[in-house]
Amino acid sequence: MSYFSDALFIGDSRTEGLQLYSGIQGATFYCYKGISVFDVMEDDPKKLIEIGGTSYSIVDALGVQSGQFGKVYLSLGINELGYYDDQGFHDKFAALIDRVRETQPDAVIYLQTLTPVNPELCAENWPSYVNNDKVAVYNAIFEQLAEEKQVVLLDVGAALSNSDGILAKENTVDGVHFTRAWYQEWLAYLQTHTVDF
Amino acid sequence: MSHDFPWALGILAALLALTLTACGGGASNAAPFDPESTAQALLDSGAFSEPLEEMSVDLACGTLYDIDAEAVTGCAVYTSLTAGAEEIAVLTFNSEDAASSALEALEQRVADQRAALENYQPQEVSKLDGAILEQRGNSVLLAVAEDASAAQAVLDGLAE
Repeated sequence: MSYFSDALFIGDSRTEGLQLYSGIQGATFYCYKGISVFDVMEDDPKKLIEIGGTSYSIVDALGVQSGQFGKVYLSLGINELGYYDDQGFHDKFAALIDRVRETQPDAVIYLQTLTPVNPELCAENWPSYVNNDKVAVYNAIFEQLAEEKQVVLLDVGAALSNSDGILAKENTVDGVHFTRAWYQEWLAYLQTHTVDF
Repeated sequence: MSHDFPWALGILAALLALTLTACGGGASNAAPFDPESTAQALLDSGAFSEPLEEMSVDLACGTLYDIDAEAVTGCAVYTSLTAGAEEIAVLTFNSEDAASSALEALEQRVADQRAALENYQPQEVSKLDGAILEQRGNSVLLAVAEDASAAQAVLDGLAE
């Protein structure tokens, strides 16, 4: 049985990349291209997760699969780089952590820091707000949240950055998304940074 | 004159058969796709602009398309590392019915990608507008390319 067979990953297209290209086995994924924590926690969120032929929002899916996960990994923020509501980002993430804890009471909750982008490739491929200005801000919020909510902070961002503190060109295809090898590197980090209760 | 009539019928039948095989979409009378060679021909065609990675049959059947892996006899699936629209899927099945079900699943895939990309990477949606979806016997194909015409030319060449 894989270590990740009782793991749930909640995230955006980078998490989708982890699912498709890292070789991870057995985990459950609630991920969607372009999603933000604001989307996840809005009043009437989109039904993006299919369970048993029925579609649910992420917050409802957590309830449908209540108690099923031993580990929950959170990775959001890259689609919020153009937002200017840091308090809102904090509050929505705090509410998401609360929902995870409410529905998965026995789970270790891992809050993953954001991996920076590659500025040169982002300038070619993405709108101008996709840069590293907000990455440090959000990662500081994650440190704060990890303390407030007593969840595990996983410094994926540091692990996948180069010595200049950015995503190296050779590890990304467009400035944001990783190469297959770098998704495998992300998985390797997760496999070697675990907590047991 | 009475000797010409069967000959004319034969010509008519041949014309009818040609018309049917020229139709795109749905089931066709062309030979089934070979997943590996068809996918490679598409990859080599220059029709795709994004870096494409090969998917395992388990991920293709489970995560991507929700199709019955037990019915799959051959598989070549490639998706984009940029989380964009470009994609190649060529699959063979143990029956034409299974292939028909898979074609519906691939149609759903195109619809799901459109919904996901329209706000996230709207420039990718036009590629989905040119998506090539075809069943040939017990095989199906999905190709979402930068240059749909170039991709179609490859497939037309394979059908000859």
